[in-house]
Amino acid sequence: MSIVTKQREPLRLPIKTEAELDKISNLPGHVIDQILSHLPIRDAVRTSVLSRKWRYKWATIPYLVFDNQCLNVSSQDQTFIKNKLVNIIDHVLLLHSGPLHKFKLSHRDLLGVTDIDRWILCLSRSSIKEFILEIWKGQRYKPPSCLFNCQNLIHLELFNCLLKPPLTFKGFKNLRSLDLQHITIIQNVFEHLISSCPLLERLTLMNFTGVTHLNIDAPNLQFFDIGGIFDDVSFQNTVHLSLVSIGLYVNIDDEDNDAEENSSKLLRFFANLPHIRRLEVQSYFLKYLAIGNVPSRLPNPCVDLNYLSIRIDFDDLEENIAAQCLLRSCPNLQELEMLVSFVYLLT
Amino acid sequence: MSMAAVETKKITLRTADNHEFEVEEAIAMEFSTIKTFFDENPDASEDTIPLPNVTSKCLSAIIEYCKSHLAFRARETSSSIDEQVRTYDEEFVKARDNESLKELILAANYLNIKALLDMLNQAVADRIKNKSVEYVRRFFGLENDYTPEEEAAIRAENEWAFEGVDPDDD
Repeated sequence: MSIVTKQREPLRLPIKTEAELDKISNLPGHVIDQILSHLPIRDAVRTSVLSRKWRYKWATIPYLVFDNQCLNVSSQDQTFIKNKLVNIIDHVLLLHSGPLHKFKLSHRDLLGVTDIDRWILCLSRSSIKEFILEIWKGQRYKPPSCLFNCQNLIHLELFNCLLKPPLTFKGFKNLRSLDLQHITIIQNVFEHLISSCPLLERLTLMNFTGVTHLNIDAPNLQFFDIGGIFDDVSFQNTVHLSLVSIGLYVNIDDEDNDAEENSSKLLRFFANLPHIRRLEVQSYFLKYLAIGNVPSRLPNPCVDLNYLSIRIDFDDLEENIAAQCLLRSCPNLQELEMLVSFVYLLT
Repeated sequence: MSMAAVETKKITLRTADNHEFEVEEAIAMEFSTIKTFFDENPDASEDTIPLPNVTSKCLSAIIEYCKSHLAFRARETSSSIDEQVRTYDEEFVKARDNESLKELILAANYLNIKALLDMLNQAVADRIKNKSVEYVRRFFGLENDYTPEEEAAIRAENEWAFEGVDPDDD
C-alpha cells in the first residue's frame, strides 16, 4: 500500500537545526527548571557551582522544602542544629528571587518562634499558594496575623499550631484544601474559617482542642476526614460531599445517652449528604450514630454510596441497630468493610 | 449478532530515521503537539506526519508508555491502580542510561506530553540527587567556567549543602 503524498506544502511541525540536535546534552531551559524543582533543597543549591550560568538558577525555583533531609550533620546538639537550620533558611530566603508558590517547613529540631514568624512574613509578601508547617516538638505554635493575609493560598497544612486569626480576617478566598492536625482553635473561629473559604474542597481535621460542635458549612466540600473528640457533627450546604471519614476517639458513656436525647444523631448526620459515595465510620463513631431513636432505614436512601467501612462492637445492641439502619439505606453498595472490636473478659 | 467493523482511526508517524509507525488516534492525541496540529488542520488526518526530531527507538518507547497509561486511566481509580502506575513508571525508567533518558525527555518535550515529561524530569532529579558536581556537570553537558578560587568561595558560602556528598566518582 502506498501512502499518497499530495503535491503541496509539506506538513510542518517545528524542526530543530542540525546544530541544536547535535547538542543532545543541552536540555531546554524550562525542562531544567522542572528538574531543579524536583530536587531536594541541598541538591538544588549545589547546582550553583556547576557553571556561571547556573549560579542562581536554583534561586528561582518556586518551591522550597525544608525538612529533616536538608541538614546533614552528625551533631546531637539540638541548639546547634536549630541555629544552623535558621541560618540556612534565612540564607535561602534572602537569595530567592521570583514568586514562591510552595513552602514547607518540617524539621524535628525546629523550635524558634520568632524565626518562623519572620519567615511567614516573608512568604506573605510573595503570593504563596501552598504552605505546610509542622512543629514537631513543644507548645502549639501561633502563626502571626500576616499568615491570614495570604489570599493566594490554595493549600494550607498545619501541625501542632494554635489558630487565632485577627478580627479583620475574612477567610481565604482561594483555599481548596485545609489540613489541620494537633491544633487548638475555638468554636466560632473554626466555624467562621470553614464558612469563609468558599472554594474549600478538602478538609482534614485530626486531634483538635476547642471545638466540640462540628457544624460544617461548605458548599464545595468533597472530602472530609476527621478524627478527634467532639459532641456533635452536622453538615449544611454540603451537596458535593462525597468522601467522609470520621473517627470519634472517646467512648460515649451509656449513662450520658439518656432518654431525653430522642432525636436521632444518625438522621441528623445524613440530612445533608445526598451524594455521599464513600463513608468510613471509625473508632467510636458508630456509638455516636446510635444515639437517639434510630429509624429502621433512612428516609432518603444513600443511592450513591458504594463503599462503607464500619468499626463495630457486636456486643452493643445500639451499635447493631445503627449498623442495620445504615446497611438498609445503601441500595447500591459495592464494598463493605467491618472492623470488629472485641472485649474479652477474663475470669 | 454481527458488528459492523468500526475502524479505529490510525495515524501514521515517520521518525527521523525513516521508520513509520501506525498508531491509534487516541494515542496520537496524547501528543499535544500533534493534537494541536490536527485541531488547526482537520483535513490533514490522512497524511503521514514527519517527526524529524524523534528516533524510532524513542517513539516506540513513548507509544508503549502512552498506551499503558491510557489503559490505566480507563480503570477505576484506586490505591492498587496507583501502585501499578508507580511500578510501571519505575520499570520504564530503570534500565535506561542517562543519554537515553535525555533523548526521551527531548522527545517528550517536542511532542508535548506533559505527564511523561513530568515523570522523566522527576526520574532525572532522582538520578542526580547526592551525586558529585562532576557527575551532574557531565549529565547536563556543562563546562566549568569558574576559577578554582571562585568555586571554592561558592562552596564555602553554601557549606551546608555540600556536607556529606559523595566524592567525585562515576
